[in-house]
Amino acid sequence: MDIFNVEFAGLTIEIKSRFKYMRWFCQSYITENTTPDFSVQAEDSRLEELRQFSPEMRDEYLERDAIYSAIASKLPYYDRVTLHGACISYKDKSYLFTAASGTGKSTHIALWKRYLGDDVSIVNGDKPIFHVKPDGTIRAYDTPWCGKECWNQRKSGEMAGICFIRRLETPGDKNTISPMKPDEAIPYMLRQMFHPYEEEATGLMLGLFDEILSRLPLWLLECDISEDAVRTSFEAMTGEKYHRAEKETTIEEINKQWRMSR
Amino acid sequence: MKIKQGFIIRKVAGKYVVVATGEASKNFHGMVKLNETAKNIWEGLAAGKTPEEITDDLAKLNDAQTPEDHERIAKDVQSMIKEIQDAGFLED
Repeated sequence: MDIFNVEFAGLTIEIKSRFKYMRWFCQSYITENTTPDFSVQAEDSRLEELRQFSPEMRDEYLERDAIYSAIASKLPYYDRVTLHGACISYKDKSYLFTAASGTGKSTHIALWKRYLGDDVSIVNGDKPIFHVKPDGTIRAYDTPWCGKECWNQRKSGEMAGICFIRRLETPGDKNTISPMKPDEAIPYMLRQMFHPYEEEATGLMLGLFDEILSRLPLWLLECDISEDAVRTSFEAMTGEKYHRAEKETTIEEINKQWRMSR
Repeated sequence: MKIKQGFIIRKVAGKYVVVATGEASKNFHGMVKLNETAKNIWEGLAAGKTPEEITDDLAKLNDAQTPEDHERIAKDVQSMIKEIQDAGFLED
């Protein structure tokens, strides 16, 4: 067993892993702090479940994903949850874009960066963590788990909205965004959650979702891949008038700035 | 007749929501939204009550006065139980 402590989302977590890969994966999060909030390792049952789902996946990657499941199951005890989605910051506020895999979350946040430039930064492109704070705010945090693009920066931000993305059904239709009521957002939100194994953790997590849905502006965006899609979500979510950056940011530059180095 | 193990019910955004945990979450990734009456029926089943007991509870809760009121509630309970059963949440 390789045992080390990592620090993210304001927590210190002890990780026990079978493969050295895990230490490499978490390298920029390793801490000397010796008093973890909790300890995790990959559960055999979860590993088996993941293996059935992706039989071709290497054991190192299965362990990496099983460890995140274990962390996700502990987070609700610390007023934190993770959601499948892409989280960016614009100026001093953070926004989560969420949808089923393949809908275009990464594409949409890359468009924000392309047209809005330096004011846009990444928090985490795949599995950010949210802290439901006692002062009424919600803070978004980066984590080492950042999806296939590996977009992640050591950066947290105060949340100012969640956007549920749907693709425009008919290409050529107008991009639209509309505010959602908290109860309308429940199915969208729960589809992107992680299912903790324990009932208690699940109950706590639903309580945190209740807080998140009542505290943050919620949006339903139906969009294509265009500058107009950015204008549509940007103006509604930030309340600012759309203004294109002087220079477009290319995908190469986005990757250079956003991809976490390991 | 009882709700299978591993489903929990919580109020989220003013609506009652059922999600799966543990073993149950392997087969059920979705969620169910319930109104107040449906939630009472669900909780009755989860507590191992019979449809008759659940109907009596609801009749009291809704201050049912006439046999017609009672009948209507019994019908609601039956159809809701059927829905829960068809969705695969019940076991014998």
